[in-house]
Amino acid sequence: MKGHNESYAMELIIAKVKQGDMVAFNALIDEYKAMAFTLALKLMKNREDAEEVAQDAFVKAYSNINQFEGKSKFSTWLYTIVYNTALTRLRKKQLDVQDIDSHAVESSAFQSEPGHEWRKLERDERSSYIQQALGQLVSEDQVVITLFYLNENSLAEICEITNWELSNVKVRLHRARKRLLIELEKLLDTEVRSLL
Amino acid sequence: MSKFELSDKELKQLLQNEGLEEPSLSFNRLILEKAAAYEHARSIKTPLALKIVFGLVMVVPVIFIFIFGGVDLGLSDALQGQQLSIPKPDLDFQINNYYIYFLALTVGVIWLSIIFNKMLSHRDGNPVKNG
Repeated sequence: MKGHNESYAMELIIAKVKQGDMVAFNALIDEYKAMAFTLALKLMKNREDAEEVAQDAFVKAYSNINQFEGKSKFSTWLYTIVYNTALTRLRKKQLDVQDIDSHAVESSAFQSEPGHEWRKLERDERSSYIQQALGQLVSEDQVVITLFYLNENSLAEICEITNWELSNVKVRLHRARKRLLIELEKLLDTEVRSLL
Repeated sequence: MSKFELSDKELKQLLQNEGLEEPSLSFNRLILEKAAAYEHARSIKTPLALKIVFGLVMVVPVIFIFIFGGVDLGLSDALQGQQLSIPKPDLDFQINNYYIYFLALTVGVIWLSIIFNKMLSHRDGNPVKNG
């Protein structure tokens, strides 16, 4: 019921934005800015660029709001714009966003402590490890992890946002998850060794 | 294979505990300013007369050059034997050639800038899809 009310409230807000209501648009920004910025940051790798991308995406969404017909969720439509805006900006900056050689990651030898060590770590330490591990992944792996686990987007929604094939999303998500765990394991292993 | 064991649910919880990144405090204000600037630009109406004058300035020199400027469209070959001829009135506006060339150059520059602008906006802007 709550979810239904929320989506109805969002429909009202979007209808007001279509009429040029800036207060409603401000509410829309508040609702989605954190996720839009997080998504942009995963691709751009620095806060200034990510803020510009997220801002441009919101302005594009505002100027094209009549193209939003409610066929998909507003968030999905908005994140598609954020994703495309970030890619365009990256192309302009001529940054290389190619996948890193997966062989290099997977062939690195590691010996680590089992998973239960993880649960012993304090929250702050865990947070630091997660950030570090995520930082080791390529942009697109970070994006797929962020959308699926953090924002709880479905695979179909991720396809819509990124314009990837479903099979590609599945493979990438599986690979990204595996890499994230490997990175966490490596970091934990290094930490344990440094204590010895 | 990773020995690290975390279920999907645990990984989701772990990442969600991390929370989302927050942009700077001026984030909303800057977007609203840009949106207001967009609204302002959209609200400026170009008078119809100005549009017509601009259209004439852009089109007339092109027509003039093609009809009277000696550009051979190959029509004479195509119309050979049909006893048709394109009327070519002998117009003399008593204008110095220097001004005609300058006008043609100006129009050319405007045309090129329009085409170049279209190309750039096509390359840069991913068109927003319907949602």
